Amino acid sequence: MPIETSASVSDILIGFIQFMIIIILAPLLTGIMRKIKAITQKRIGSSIFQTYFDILKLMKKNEVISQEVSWIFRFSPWIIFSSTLVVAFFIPIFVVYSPFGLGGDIILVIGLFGLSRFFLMLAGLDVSSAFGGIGVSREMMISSLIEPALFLALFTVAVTYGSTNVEIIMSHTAESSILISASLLFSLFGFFIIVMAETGKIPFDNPATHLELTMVHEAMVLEFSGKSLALIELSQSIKQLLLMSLLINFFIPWGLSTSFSISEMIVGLLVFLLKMVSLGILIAYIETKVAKWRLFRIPDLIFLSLASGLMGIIFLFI
Amino acid sequence: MQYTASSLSQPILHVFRNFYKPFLAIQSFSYYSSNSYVKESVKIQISNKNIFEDLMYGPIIRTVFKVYEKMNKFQTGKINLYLLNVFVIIILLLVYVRLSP
Repeated sequence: MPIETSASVSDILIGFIQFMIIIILAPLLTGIMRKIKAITQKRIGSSIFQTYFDILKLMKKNEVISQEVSWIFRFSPWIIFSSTLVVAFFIPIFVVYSPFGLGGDIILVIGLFGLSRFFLMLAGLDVSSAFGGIGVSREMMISSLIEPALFLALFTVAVTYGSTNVEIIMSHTAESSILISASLLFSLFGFFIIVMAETGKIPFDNPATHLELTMVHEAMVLEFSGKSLALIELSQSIKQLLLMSLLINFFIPWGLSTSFSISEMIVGLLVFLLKMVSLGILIAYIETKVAKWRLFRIPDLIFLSLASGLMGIIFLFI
Repeated sequence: MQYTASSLSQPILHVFRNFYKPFLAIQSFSYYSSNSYVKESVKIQISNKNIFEDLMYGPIIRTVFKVYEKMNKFQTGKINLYLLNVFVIIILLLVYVRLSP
């Protein structure tokens, strides 16, 4: 394991570079997925760097804030952004080292995602508009059903590799030779559905919709503008990248660099970029194939993922 | 405009409706019996069953109360009866200690 108990300056610098790469790559992934959706719909679509331009444009604009809000509405974009950044410190993407490393594990990551979602829901209610209430009640239903499925899928991985610490799991997966067992396949299937639900993709939620019939996440962030909206969009992109990198590094880990040598790290980064783009193309293609599901059919899909995670855990002990 | 608690939690209660068994009754009263479109008032009743209260806490508490009703016969308020109680139990304990192997 390349994890040393006393971290040297170069290790911390590499961890920090990994963190900056996460923040810089995240909007690019969103842009690539939008471009693929446009191409499969026979449109030209905007360029893959459009998300960067959108965020920069939003940073320059003033905010329009309703009169009925309290401190929750003004604080929550910052809370959401900062908790997502803390998660970015915990999840390694191309070298098995995270700067906070032994300070927390996968349960803390899920808790931080839950914290950001909680404040997003509070801010949606704080504006006292009907759209906020719609978004919050639908998001409450979906996210409270997602949590057990997410825990089951991740606990299967944790029990297989002997720890809940993200770094230790990834150092074990990087040294394994094949995708081993039936339990990991069930867990992969369940976790894939959960990734699509948490990041708000079709069939769970349409991120590009203008109709309140199909809004879940969009309705909660409808009242944000200017810098707050830029922060929330960036947090959403970073969360998407982090969840996809969890999927890649837990289940398809070959190419992950386990030492700090420059050549291995560059190979690890290139392999990670390739896997990330492929997974993004796959998710964008699935989004184009299906339509958004009726709201009360979504729990059926989440229960399918829960059952798959449960089968994964059962197959560990048979 | 606000979202009330019952409307905010409606999706979750709909997902678990087999456990909560919601009950919805709507009664509308119209001014004229010949024209039911012009309504005077509408009465709506919504309720969810409380499954933990009815199936778990309820029977336990009822059983405990029944047992305590039977034990209530010892509480008479007369000191002499309490002293007689103590006397009888001490005799029985001495007999038990003498006869046990």
